[in-house]
Parts: sequence; structure tokens; C-alpha cells
Amino acid sequence: MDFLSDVKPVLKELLDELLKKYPYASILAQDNYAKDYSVSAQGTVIKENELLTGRGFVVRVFDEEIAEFSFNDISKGTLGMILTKIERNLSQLKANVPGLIHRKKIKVNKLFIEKLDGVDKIEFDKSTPFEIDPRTVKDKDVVKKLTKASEAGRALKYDNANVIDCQVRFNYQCIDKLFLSKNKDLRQHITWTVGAFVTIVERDGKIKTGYKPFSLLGGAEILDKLKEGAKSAIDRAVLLLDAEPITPGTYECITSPAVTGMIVHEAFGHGVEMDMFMKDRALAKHYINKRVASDLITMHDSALASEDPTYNNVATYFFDDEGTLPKDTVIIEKGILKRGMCDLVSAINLNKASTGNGRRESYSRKAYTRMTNTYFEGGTDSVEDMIKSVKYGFLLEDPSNGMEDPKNWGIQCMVNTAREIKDGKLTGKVFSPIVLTGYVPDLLKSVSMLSPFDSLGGSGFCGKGYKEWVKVSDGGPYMKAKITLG
Amino acid sequence: MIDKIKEALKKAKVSIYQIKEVKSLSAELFFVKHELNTRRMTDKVEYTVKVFNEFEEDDNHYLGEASVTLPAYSIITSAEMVKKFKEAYKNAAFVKNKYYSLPDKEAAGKFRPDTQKNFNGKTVQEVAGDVAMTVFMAEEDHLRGGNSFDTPIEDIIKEGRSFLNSLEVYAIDKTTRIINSNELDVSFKEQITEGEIVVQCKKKEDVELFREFYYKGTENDILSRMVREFLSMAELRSEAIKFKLTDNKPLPVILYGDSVREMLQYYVEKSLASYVYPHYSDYKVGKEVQDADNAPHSFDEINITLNAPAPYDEEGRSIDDKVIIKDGICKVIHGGSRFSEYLGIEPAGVYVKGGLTAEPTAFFSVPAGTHTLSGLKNGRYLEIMGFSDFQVDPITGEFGGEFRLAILHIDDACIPVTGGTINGIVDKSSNTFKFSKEMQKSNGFSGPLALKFDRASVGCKL
Repeated sequence: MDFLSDVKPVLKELLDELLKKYPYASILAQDNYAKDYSVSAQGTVIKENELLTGRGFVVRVFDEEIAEFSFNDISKGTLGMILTKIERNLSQLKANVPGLIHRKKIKVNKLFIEKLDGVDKIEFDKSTPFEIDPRTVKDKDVVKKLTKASEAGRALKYDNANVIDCQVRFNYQCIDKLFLSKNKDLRQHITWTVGAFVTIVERDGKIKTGYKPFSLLGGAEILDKLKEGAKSAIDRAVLLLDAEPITPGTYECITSPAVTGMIVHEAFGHGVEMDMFMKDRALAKHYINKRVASDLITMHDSALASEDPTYNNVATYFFDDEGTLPKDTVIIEKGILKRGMCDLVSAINLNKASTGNGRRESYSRKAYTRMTNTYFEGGTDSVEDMIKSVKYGFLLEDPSNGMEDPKNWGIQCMVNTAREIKDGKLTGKVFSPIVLTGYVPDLLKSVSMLSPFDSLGGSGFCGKGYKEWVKVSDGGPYMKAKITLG
Repeated sequence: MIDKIKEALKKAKVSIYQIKEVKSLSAELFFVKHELNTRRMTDKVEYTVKVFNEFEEDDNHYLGEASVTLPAYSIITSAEMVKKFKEAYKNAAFVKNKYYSLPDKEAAGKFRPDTQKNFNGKTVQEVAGDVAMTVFMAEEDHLRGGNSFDTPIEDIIKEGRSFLNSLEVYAIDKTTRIINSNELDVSFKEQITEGEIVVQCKKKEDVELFREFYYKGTENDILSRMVREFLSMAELRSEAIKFKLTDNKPLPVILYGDSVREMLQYYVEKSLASYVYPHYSDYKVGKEVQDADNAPHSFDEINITLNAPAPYDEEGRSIDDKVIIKDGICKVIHGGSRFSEYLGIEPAGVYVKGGLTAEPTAFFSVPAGTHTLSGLKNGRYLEIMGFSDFQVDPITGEFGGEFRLAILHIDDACIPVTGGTINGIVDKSSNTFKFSKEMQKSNGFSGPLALKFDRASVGCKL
């Protein structure tokens, strides 16, 4: 028996007791395991990831408002004590809420409970597929592969640069979650893996970095991708040593799928997280059923496991952290903003249905509306034709970071590489670093060509502000648009 | 649990180890406008055990390491622990890191009582309530300022006063114990208030500003002042116009608040032993970090003191405040046992946290500068009050961000502007730094409120 199966009878007993006291109660239990490996000039690292590993539980009840208690200590013998602790702690907190605070008067009737827990009884136990279970691969073999790749990278010689480091990383997480409520008994097992090259080069004291990531909803089969890739990651960094600052302006640009992904996620995606609608923090709520992009743009956010594995990535799941089943949510359809994505609590406040986007960093954090696998659909243009169509502009690659601005739809994204295109040809000249600015709908309305869908990338984490880290992926096709660069 | 872990380590034949136990209790309140949306409590205990394997191979002496995380004892069995430790011990043999020694009980020094700011005997629930009340009272003061008590708040907001959009409050009581196989055994308590505030204003444009706060103990006076200032800034932002540059003349920049900390944190990270050892940084004791010889005009020398966020670092070593940069010269390369020993220096201690965390990466202070704020404000310059996001690359020193509110001082005019960007390289601007005499304290940083410098590239949305 595994841990969650072992503890399930005790949790069911706890749930029954909670349901005697509160009109709604649910329990999310997790037994997640994640491991990080890296080999670099700093040395070798093998460690369980503290953020992503952990056993614990979160009880949610309705008690004038949503109230939660997160903990990681329970046994049959301590059940009574846990129950007392939950009630005592939550009521003490309630007693200390400042008196001037309003409490929304919610009518707790059958309809309200159905909104929280659904109408139908649902029970399942599902797993995502993988070829090689990463937990079965010997650390020795992982370290051997990473060391070989790292040493090969560090041994590369360049006439015009010194390679300081070629760090090779491999990370995985095996998620095991159980959700229990009156109507739901759900279990899911998710496995994702990520690999990356992080390179550092130097010339005359000038340092540049390069990054090449891989991600997969799957297992240790991703390690095969780490056999190659070091050279291209170092080449990218070396190229930047000669990069020039760009003259600010609005240019015809072609974005790589990774840069398209950053625009989808940072520039637009955060603005359609509907907890932001609830707080009056997102401009998008005034644009439902209005044009926000060119006809070519259709945008999805989907944690739903697709039959086509290209559309599955690190944020695929079978239920979210509030027990809601995910959807393939079409956010923009042929340029028209149709809907946002939503967690359960915001959905109730907005009188909408949750889209299954309520996600937590871990059992000990609050659930918020979060993106999952977010992308633009592909088109029919070839990348060659797209480049040929540019009189003067840039091919934008290697996104470095971005920040949301849902209130104003301002774009604030940075990319490392802008390759110059002149008269339909790449000139070999590179500009860096590049700040993408402007107004999101202006950029999206200017989209004039799309390649077929290329890929999703899920190497990083997404924060809400500067915390609440969850795994997400984003991507799409190569995209031609007018973009303001600085 | 500690005894059970030690027993399991013994059974797994692990003789070199470090155990870290963190017990935490937190009370959390989440408000949307003046409505409580969610209340939460967290009560957990977590363990991280580092398992070391000392071995020799081809005449080289190694100390491999693998780490294991454990939950509370009731939800893990001894057999599971032994299995995990055995596996970690075996895996640590593949980590061929040059040998180094772990700190011993002498490194922990004498017992140090908890002297940090705390909750003065209040519960986390009481403190969370107090902090929320402080923020709401500050908002009330701001809204009522100059308005009659008879005027409904809704009318005051309609007239253009800024208000609280949303608030998150966390009150955390945390106890950490660190034990290792060299008989080191220390523990310390931390009580922390943290959260985030979003303010909104509809004076002209409907705008918002976002800010985090993090304090040891409670700092309700500082928090109250910050909220009121922040609300005033939102009103200014509401009136701000789109930033446009009219010429290519150099435009010095003044940064405020958190972005000053971000700029100076570059020096904290550049002097890390873990950056120096693999040559990510060329810092060494005695290095001049501001290129004084090529300074275009007088500047303020950088002085940075690392502040110990707790009496002990993450290896259990006793730590105190430490000067790392003095008068623009690097005085200390800091870090833990491993990289310090590789560099042949005494470990100064671990002051910088890695990984994704809501806590500040480092606690440090910088003394007041030689210029008053009004003295910094001369000529043409761009005074940036807040960014949507401002980042500094700790390896390359490249910085950049898009500002949400700035005041453009040009041709005797002061124009609130929004939506421009700045970017540059810290090392190219550092010999033009001028710090304000006025100070700030937030998010683990105590230092000048403002930093003025040249050579940032300023851009605008076209």
C-alpha cells in the first residue's frame, strides 16, 4: 500500500466529522516527490526538491467564508486532536478579523453547496503516461549522463570566448494527490521531467549566459535530449558577446515558439485569470466578446490530457487543487476574447463556473486562479516564408523573463536574442538584451502570419506576484507581428 | 522525531549528516477590498536531512551529499526513513565534490538567546488581525484626510482618492533546529509578518500599484506609513501620462524603495564564495568594485553589511552582522563551508538563501549617503517611483524593468509619467552612484531611500 491509500480511511473519518459541523468540507492530500540533479563547475548536486516534495493535507470548510487548515501530522489515534485543532485555530482567527471588515452574507443552501461540490458523485484514479519512471533510474546513471554532457560543453573551445561553465540540469516531480468531499473521491498520479543547459561564457571580463531547456509530461526518457544541446546553448551565449543594443522602435518581428509562449502567458494569460476579474484588477473583464487579436489568433489554456501528446506538458492534470475537473478553455477564438480561466472561489463570487484552474504551490498554501498549459493555435505559414516576408525586422528568440500587467495590458517581456532580418534574409547580426513593450491588443491585432503549432515549453515556474510557484507551460507557433522593442 | 531520525541514520550506517527541523504555525487573511475572502491556518513540521558520504577514489578525497525531506513522524515510518537514508548514502557516492568539513559545535559558539523582534506574546491569529487592522486604518486615514467624517467613503473614492484593492496578511511563528554529526545542535525562533498590498485609484486613469512587505516581528508604524505613501503614489500614477522621450540627451535616473535593494543586492551575490569559486565572479578581498579611477564625477562609495537574519545560518554556524564591501572595496567573500574551504578562506557564513521563496534572498544594510533627497533632485532626471518588475542579473549585472510611475524632471517641469523602461549594466553605472541621506527599511533591506546614477538606457513605448 502507498501512503495516500494508507491514510485515506483516517481522512474519510475526518471528513465525516467535519461535515457534521460545516455545510461544506473537503480534504486535499498530497504525497509529492521531486528530485533535482545538476552538474557544473560548482560541482554535483543530488537533492530532493524541498518546495516540490512533501506529504500533507489541507482541509477546506465553509464557515461564513472559505476557511482552510493545512497540516502534515495525522493518525487514527490523533484524529480527535486534529479536529479540535482545526476548529479552535480557525475560530480564533475568525475572532481576530478586524471589526470593520464586511462579510458577504452568503445564503448557504443546496445550490451554493452544489457550486462548491458539484451535483454528481465522481470517483476515479488516473495517471499520466511515461516511458521510464524517473524514480527507477539510478542516480549513478543520471549523474554519469549529466557529467558527460557538462564536461563536453566545458571542453568546447572558441577563438573569441572562454567557456566558464556548462551546467546541465535534470529535475522531475511525481505528484500523487487525493481529493475527498461529500461527492468526490479523486486520485491522480502525474509525472513530469525537465532538463536544461545553463551556460556562461566570458571575453575580456564581459560575461554572457545561455539557456536551453526541455520539458515533458513523461519520465526519464527526456535524458536522451541531454546528449546534445550543450553546443547550441554555448553558441547562443557566445553570440551575445557581440550583440549590440537595439535602436528602440516598432518593427516587424517573428517570435520563436518560446517567445510566442511568453507573450501568451505573461502579456495576455495573467490578465484572464479571473480572480483578477473579481478584484477589479484586470482590463480583460471589460473585453469579453470583443476583439483583442487578429482573426488568426485562437488561444487555449488546458490542463486536460490531450490525445495528441504535443499539447500535454508539465501542467496537465485530472483535477485541480479544489477538486474541479479541468477543461480545454478557449480564451480567444479567432481574435475575440471569449472567457477567462477561473478557480472555484472566484467563480462563486463572479457567479460563473470554475474552469478547473484552482492551483496551490503545495498543501500549505492558498489556491489561486493559475494558468496551466497555455498556447496559441498554429497556422499554415512556413517559417521560411515568414522570414522572406520581412523587409526589415527581427527574429526574436530566447525569452528571459516577463511580468504581467493585467490592469493595463502593458507588455513587459525580455528576450536575449534579436536576429536581424533584412530584405527577407537573416543577416547574422544580433541585438541584445531586448525589452518588448507596448499594448497587448495592439501586438495581437497585428499578427499576420503563423507557422503550424510547434511546441510547449515548461521549464520554469510561474509565480503570483513573487510567490506561489506552480509549474506551467506555454508556447505555440512562430508568429509574425509588429512589436515595439527597446 | 529527531531521535527517530538519528536512529534511522544509524541503521542506514550514515555517520556524517545534518538534520534541519522547521516547525511553523501561520495565520493568513485574504481580503478583496473590505471583504474577507478566505482565512487560513497552517500548522506543520518538516525535516530536511543531508546525508554525506566521505570516500576516496583515484587518490582524490571526496564528500558527496544527497538530501532527503521528511514530514511529521505520524505520516512516515522508521522503515521508510531507513530506506531513504540508505538510498541517499549510496547516491552521495556519485557526487564527487572535493572534501570539505562540516561546522562543529565550536562554530555554533555559545548559546545565544533569541533577541530578534517578536510578537510580544501575542498569538499568530491576534497578530494577523492587528496587521490587517493597521492597513485598513492607514487607508481610512488617507481617505478621511481633508474630508468630513459625514462624507461617505464611496463618494471620497469617486472624487479620486486611492483605496485598498486587496490585501494578504501572514503572521508566522517558526522554530528551526539544526543538528549535525559534529555535535552541533542549535535552535532559534523567528516571528514574521509578511504580505502584499494592492492599491487602486480612479482619479483619471484606473490604475493600481502592488507592493510586498516582510518584517521580523511586527512593524506596524512602518507599515502604516508605507501604506499611506503608497496610496498617495497611486493617485500620482492615475494622473501620469505616457512616457515619451523628446531628445537623446543623457538622463540620470533616481530609483526608490525595493529597486535600490535590487541594485545593491548585485554586490551581495557577486561576493558569494559559490560564485567566486567557479569564476562566475572575479571578486576577491581588496577588489575595487566601483572603478573609481574612471568616475566621471564624485560619487558615493558602496558600503554593505550583511545582516544575520537569525543567530545561526543554515549550517548551524553562529553568525553576526558582517561588512562585505567597505568604501567600494570588497572585504569579505562570504558563504558556507564547502566553497569557502575550496577557496582556502574561513567560512563567513551563509547569508544568502537560494531557491524559490517568499522570504528575502538576503538581509543587508547600507549606510545613508551624502546627499539629501532634495540635493539629488537637480538638473534633468527621471525619478522612478515604482516598477512593474525590476530585475538585476547577478552574473552579468544587466538590469532592467518597466516603470509604472516616474516623475520626469526636464526643463523645470515635473511630469508624472508611466510605461517607460530602463536598462543598463550595474558595473558601468556604479561609479556614478549617489545615495540619499533619507533611509528606508523593508523586505530585509535597510538603506538609502533613493539611489541616483547615470548611464542607464531609458526607453519609451512608441
